[in-house]
Amino acid sequence: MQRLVFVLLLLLLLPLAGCQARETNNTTAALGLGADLEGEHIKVSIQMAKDSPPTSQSSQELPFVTVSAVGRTASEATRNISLSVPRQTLWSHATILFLGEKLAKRDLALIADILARNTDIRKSARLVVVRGTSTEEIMSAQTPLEPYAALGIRDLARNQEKQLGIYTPVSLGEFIYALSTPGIDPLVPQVSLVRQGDKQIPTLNGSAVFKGKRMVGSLTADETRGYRWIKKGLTQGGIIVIPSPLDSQKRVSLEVIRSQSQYQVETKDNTIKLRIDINAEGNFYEQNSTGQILDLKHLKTMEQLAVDEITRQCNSSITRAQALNSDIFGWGRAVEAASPDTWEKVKSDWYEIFPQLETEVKVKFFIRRTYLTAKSFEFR
Amino acid sequence: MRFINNKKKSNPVESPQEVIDQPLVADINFNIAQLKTLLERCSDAVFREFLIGPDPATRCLVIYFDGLVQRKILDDNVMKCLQLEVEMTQDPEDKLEQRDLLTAIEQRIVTVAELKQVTSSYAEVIRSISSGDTVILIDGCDRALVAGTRGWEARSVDTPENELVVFGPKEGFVETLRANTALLRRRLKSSEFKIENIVLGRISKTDVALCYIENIAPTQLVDEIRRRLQNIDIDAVLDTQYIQELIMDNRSTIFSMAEHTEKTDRTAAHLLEGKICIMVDGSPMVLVLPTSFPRFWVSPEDYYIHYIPASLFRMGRFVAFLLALTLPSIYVAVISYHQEMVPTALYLTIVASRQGVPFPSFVEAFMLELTFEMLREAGLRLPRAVGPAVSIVGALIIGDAAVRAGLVSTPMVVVVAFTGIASFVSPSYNAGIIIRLARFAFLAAAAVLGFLGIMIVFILLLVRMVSLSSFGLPYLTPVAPLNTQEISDILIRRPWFKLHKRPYEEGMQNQVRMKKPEEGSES
Repeated sequence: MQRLVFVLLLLLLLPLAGCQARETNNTTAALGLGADLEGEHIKVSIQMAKDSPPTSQSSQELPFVTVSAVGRTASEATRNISLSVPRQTLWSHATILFLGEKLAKRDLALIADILARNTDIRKSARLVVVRGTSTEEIMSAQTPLEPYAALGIRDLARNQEKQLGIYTPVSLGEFIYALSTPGIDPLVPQVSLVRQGDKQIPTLNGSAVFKGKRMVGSLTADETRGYRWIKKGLTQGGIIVIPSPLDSQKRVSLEVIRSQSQYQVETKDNTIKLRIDINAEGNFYEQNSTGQILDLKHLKTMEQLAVDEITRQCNSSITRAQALNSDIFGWGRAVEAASPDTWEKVKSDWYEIFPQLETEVKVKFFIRRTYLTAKSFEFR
Repeated sequence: MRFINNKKKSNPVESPQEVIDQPLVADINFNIAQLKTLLERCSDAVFREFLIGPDPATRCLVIYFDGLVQRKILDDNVMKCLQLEVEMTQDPEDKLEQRDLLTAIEQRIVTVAELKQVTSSYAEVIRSISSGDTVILIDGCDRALVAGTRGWEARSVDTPENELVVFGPKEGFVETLRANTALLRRRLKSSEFKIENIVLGRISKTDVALCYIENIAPTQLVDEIRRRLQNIDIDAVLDTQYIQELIMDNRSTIFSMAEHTEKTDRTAAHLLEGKICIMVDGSPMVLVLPTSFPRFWVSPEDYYIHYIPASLFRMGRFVAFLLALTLPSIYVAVISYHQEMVPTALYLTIVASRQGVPFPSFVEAFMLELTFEMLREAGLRLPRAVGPAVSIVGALIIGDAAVRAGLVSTPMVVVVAFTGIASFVSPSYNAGIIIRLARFAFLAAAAVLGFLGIMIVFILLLVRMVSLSSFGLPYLTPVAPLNTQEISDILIRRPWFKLHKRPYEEGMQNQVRMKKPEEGSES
């Protein structure tokens, strides 16, 4: 008898599933989340995948929809989306977050809490700042090849890093860490719509510089390159274009294999001096002229030209960061690591020291190989 | 009433129940009458009455069951000898006592290897002829001669259909006990290999053989199993499973407490590890005990191929085991609870294919699993000729039409099909049964509580398994209790040159399988 009651109780557990289970037919995956400002309200946009597979779709129709809603708080706005969407959205699949420029420039506190607190938002989701247009607009645009635009934009940052080497992808976790840690400020890639033919295509375009709880300015692509060199640690991939040693009008492309950056902090008589050691290695990739330049002498010259180019990029980046007074390189953390006592003293007025911080960039570049032909291309 | 009274008057014999335990008497006519009463309406019983010796000739009876004897032996070595030789060997002047005549026949005349003189009851005579022996009765003698003339139509030794291997011995047991013991004796040519005979079943009188290797198998265990076997009181034993259920420690568990096998090599290997085998006449299945659950994933083939691929295959088998057990439940849990666990692209594919499916994923999985079980069950019993038809229907209707009709989703079909394949990987059919049943428990738990439910069922399953023991051997040996030495021959296949010891068992007497080189030089 007791056993029977026990079995019955167990069976009664079955209908309990109703509260928790989310059948796929009642849910939809959010591929990208966006937050922007509309007037005084927060506007949240969600890009959701349609149910049918992208291959069976006619090329006219997009395989996703972007839905937006407005609310006084971010969570109210997200809940308002359920007014027009008949399904529960699964945020856990969103791997990219779009931050509207207006919102970023006003006050990050409007959304920082929900980003850090919500269990359904992935901390590994990539972050981009939308420049020039509204978040909703960029989330409705189509990317070439990738049927789900949000995933396409997410992969832009990752893919260009190996190929071109301008932007450093930033995850939400890193962003929150940089926001909430003294001595380092976040730098986030920007995306904007660029006209190509008759289409508006989302394209990476500079980086947004943050300080405190708002965005204070932007770096150009060139300055972002400088940031990538300076950023502490190992960087891999990318390309660098230098003038040809034979003809300053022509160009030589070098491929970067790896580059290692280290900070040396010197504290003397209450002054802080920072030396940045960049040790890079690359391959000779291409020249757009003729002429034999692959001999020892010219290789040495090219290495020096590469050093000059890298130094120039770094310096422009440093100048811009110091002008915006945002410690995107994490030099405050470097000072703390090198000399905790000094950091305790300068911590409170770090942003008065930072713009005047004396820096020295020391670059080494080494050309490792030249691929298939040892000689240069010759026309005969 | 009148009929019974009549019968009693006209016949000196009592009812068969009373007759059967009575001893044989010297009067052959009486014996014949009694036996005929006992074997009334047994059309296969053959009574051959004849005379032997010089005049006055002695009456003699040969009795056997037709079909159970080898006719040629009976004709040449029994009948011919009796009818021709008795006359020649006997001196007409010297009249022998009838008992001496019987001894003379036994010792000098009948040329059958297995021949014995018995003083016994009619029951014994019936038992002997039922086993295929021939009983010879002589007038004036209260003893009988039993000649071993057994021989009947039987299946020849064949490859077992359920335990197929690519490498190694392929021979399997048959339904005849003697043939089976002979197969084992051929593999273990030692006097230490014991085959004890126990007769079970009030009607069937089945020969049951208890096999073990003395000095390896734990004596206590052998005694205990012998005691349990002797305590069995049942009308018939038709298969080893009867025995298993009757001698098991724990009667309410679905876990098989003994291993069934049809392979002679596997049985011999078990015997050499101190296991005890029970064979039943009439069944090709051998019961091996005690056993432990991890052993179910050890295939005898592992020991016949190189140990590195064998180890990999074995690991693959364990993976397949886990998948067969949990894959549908993991899928259901992921789809209904933990959507964030799958990569986005996969999730979108699943969502796309589940679009329009009218059932919750649990119902979908349950239906498909049930269908698969039905197909499998039907496939077992199909006549050969209809087999292809059913597999076409199964594959097309279930696999294709159901998906097209939108009743089930494609990923679910893939999951169930994969699980089906994985569940056939287990080399032991018994273990496969456990997987099939436990899978449904996992499925229900996943539908109720997601991964949490799967974990709960998993823990309950483990708790149950560690609490079981098969004739004193913990059911999860050597995993729990952990034995690092032996577990290395469960997870991977240890090379033979490393297998110095037999797997330990309580009370095992001789654990050394192979002397280590340095020990060898000492002795």
